[in-house]
Amino acid sequence: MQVKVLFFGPAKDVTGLSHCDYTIESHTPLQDIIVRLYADFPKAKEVFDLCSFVINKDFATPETVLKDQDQIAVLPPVSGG
Amino acid sequence: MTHLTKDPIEIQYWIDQYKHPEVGAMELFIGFTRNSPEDDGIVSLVYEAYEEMVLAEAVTLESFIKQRYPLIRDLLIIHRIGEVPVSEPSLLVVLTGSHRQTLFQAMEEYIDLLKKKLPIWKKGIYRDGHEQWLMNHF
Repeated sequence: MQVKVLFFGPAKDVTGLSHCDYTIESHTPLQDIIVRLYADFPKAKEVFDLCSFVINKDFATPETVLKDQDQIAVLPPVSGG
Repeated sequence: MTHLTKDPIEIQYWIDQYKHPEVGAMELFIGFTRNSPEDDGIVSLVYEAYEEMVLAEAVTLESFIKQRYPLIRDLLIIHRIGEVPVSEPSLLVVLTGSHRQTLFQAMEEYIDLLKKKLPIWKKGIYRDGHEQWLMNHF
């Protein structure tokens, strides 16, 4: 199964990417992707520590099980307006 | 209704869109890019959004405000995306209703919520060339 991770704002700057793709096994929880993100982007730790993670635009817990083609967004604290 | 736009916000255009015989009061909030002394040489702000989620969250916000303030007729958010130079509007919020009283309180709450909930980020571009992501202060 494939999932896509979207980066925004400071998370996009620090990773240098707008998105990346991961191949996962079935029954993989969001937490596994978060762990992989910290491992793949060690310089982003301080930003990731402040981020929320959403799946298909909905806030999710680390235990939420991912489905094929899910879009996970890494959201730093917002600052619109 | 909520729009994200890369183009300058045409304030008068949006006022005209919300004129209606049932509208006795229209309140506008316009947020501008500023360079006051504490902003330390900002020349522009660059806004970025998770657009699909902004639009979904904005529908939820609109329902919430309409439920709390049933006398409100229309709600509009126009948020600029991309680079917004000093003195140009980055945000227009319009509320309409039959009377003004409800609008003042609703506007305060609506703006607070949109600043906290909508996935939009702004980066300051400074005269000396450096850039910095900014936080909202409440």
